[in-house]
Amino acid sequence: MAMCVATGLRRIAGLLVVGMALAALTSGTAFAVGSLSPGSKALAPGSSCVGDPNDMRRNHMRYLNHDRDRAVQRGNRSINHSLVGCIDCHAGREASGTPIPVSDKGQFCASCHTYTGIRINCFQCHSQVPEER
Amino acid sequence: MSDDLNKSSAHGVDSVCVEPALEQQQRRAFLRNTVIAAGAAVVAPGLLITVAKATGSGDVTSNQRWGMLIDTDKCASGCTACVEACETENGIDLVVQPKRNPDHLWEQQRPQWIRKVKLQDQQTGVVTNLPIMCQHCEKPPCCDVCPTGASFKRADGIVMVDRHICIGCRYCMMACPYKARSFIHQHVAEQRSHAPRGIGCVESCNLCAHRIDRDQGGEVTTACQDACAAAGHHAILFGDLKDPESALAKALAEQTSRQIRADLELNTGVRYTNI
Repeated sequence: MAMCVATGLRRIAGLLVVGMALAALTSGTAFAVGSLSPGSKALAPGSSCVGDPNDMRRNHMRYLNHDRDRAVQRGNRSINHSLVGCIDCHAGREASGTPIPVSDKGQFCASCHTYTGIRINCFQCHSQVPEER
Repeated sequence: MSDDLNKSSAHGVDSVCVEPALEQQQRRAFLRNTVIAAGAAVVAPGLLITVAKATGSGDVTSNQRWGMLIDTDKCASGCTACVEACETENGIDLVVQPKRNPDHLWEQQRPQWIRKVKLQDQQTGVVTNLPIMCQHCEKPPCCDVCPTGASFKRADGIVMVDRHICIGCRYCMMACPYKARSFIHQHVAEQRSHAPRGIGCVESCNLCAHRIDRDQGGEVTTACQDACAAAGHHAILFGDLKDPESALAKALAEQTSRQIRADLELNTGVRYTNI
């Protein structure tokens, strides 16, 4: 019985922690504007994301997966969520103007993925910097 | 019908909270809209289809089938303009030879979407040059053998690999009669934005699908066609096989052309003259 109570308490505590983390994520306090990479177009005045930033933080992977299939298999480029678009806007730049790969340490993609312990494989194949040639 | 509705609204439980007049209004509005929609569909189905296409989803359709005609008489010996243009366009030149990979192996294994082939008639000694790439079959053997559905044919006839699904088994490479497919053996550090590429996937010519899909009006061309024309040969003609007004369809209607390995009855989208 005591064991059960202990497990129950641990479970509740675990749920609380997860809940708080989610609340922090959705309210945007954990990743404020500061997480945008210096030098990226996303920091330009008047620029806005293709979706609500809180929604994008949580669901960008679903949108990207959905739209990649439309783009590749149906040749539909009128999609709203493209990885190239993300990178174009969110790649940071050095003072010299050279773009920095988005999953370099501390950069836009890496900052969250490292924090949440996510290992993605987008950039095994996809370019991490905006096209400039 | 309306009697039935009246009855059910008079005695039905769910209509208790709704004012009879309001409900009447809602039903009228609903009926009116239904009648309007049905009328529009009956009166002008053609108009509706046009509107749907104009504002529509943007998916490629089977109203088009992309293809090529290659005039081997115009293809010059020693010229590799199309190959180089393809490599630049699709970022193949960014794949570097691994240090441990000897030259002869690299030459066999490096990715190549288009290659020059030289044929010689053993009786007469006549030499024919031609570029060979994915022939974009109507019935592609690569798609038949693909265990995951990664090899697929788009609605507009382009045969492609969806590398999100490709597991790198290379069955398609064995199945292709044209040796058109390449496998990426090593990590690739740099890619072009429109041409992703990574270790463990198969790839081949996609008729510059990124150009077709980003088409802003005007004539679509492929990188190899542009390069061939720039080199002054004009051996490659790209276009829509299904559009009778396209330069490609007209050229095909005027002269005899052949499919390579026509005996396989794959109905290739790429055709050749003078071989």
